[in-house]
Amino acid sequence: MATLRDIRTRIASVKSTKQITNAMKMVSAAKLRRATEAAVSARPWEQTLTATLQRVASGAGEIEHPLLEARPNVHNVLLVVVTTDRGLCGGFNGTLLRQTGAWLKAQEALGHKVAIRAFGKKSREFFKVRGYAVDETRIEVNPAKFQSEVQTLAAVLVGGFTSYDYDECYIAYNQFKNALTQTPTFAKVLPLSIQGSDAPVGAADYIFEPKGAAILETLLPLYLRTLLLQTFLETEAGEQAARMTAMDNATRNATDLIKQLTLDYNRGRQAAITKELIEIVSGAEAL
Amino acid sequence: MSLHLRIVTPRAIVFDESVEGVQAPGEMGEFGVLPQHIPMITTLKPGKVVIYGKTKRTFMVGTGFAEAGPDRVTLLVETCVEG
Repeated sequence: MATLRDIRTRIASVKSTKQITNAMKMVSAAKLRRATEAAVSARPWEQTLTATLQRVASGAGEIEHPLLEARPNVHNVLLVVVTTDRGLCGGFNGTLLRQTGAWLKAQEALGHKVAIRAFGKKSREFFKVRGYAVDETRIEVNPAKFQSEVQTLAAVLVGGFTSYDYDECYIAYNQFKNALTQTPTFAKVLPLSIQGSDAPVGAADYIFEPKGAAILETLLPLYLRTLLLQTFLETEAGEQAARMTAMDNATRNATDLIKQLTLDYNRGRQAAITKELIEIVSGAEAL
Repeated sequence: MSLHLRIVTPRAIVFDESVEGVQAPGEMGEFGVLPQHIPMITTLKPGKVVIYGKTKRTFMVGTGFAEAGPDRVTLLVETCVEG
């Protein structure tokens, strides 16, 4: 049986934990707003770019480009895993990494050799514990560095793909659906696939400068960088959303716990008083 | 006849207004777009974009591309600052 003093200490400790989780929730909420704004403001860019690519694709007829080449025999695969540096965000990283483990096993079963590039401390720990060899780990990638990280990563992907080091490149990240749902996603980034839209957009009348295929030389790397940037932005937004939800739950649990403990404490206090009264009364009666 | 110009970067839509004409640094050389331009898609190299409207405005842009039509121009650039 816990003594009154034990309960009192417990209440104090839960209270201070609650303060921390509550503060973290507030911070995440603020960061989430900024992160969603960034993700949302990148959307017009992505949409316009995709639309233009489709126009080029359906206007230039058969398009061929090294980055679009689907290879019949796949031997080497590159997986880029994007997680966060920090924990305390529920199952955000855990779910993605668990699925990554399964994905890697499936690739091995197919006889593919998988090279890994990791982003975030959480994926670094995961691969270290499991004993996977990782080509490169980048940590502390914050929104201010997204642009330059994307540039570097895109260069690595394009270099590796065109020199036949990798036959396919995938990126594993948490897709940001909304503040409550983030879905672990394995997206194939190379070879790029562009669907020429079925609804013609008057594509035939376009003049391209430089001509057809040459324009892809600029557009495709740009498109790749956009895809990569999108994954970073969504991971950032998802992390904050997941942390906000987790911390909100934690705060609520703490509140419930404090309520229960206070009840226990008061009950114990009452019992002690009653007991003391009975002792006094029966003592007086005995006289 | 007016021309609607949009300058879009990954961070934001920088410019979204009707203009009289615009001059942009194409990879194959500087070009200008006025209303009734033939549909065209071209790549851009870093340089200066000059917008002619009620006032003349200048933007410095990074690599990207431009899509022009009879009544609209869209510039997609990786970076863009006014100056």
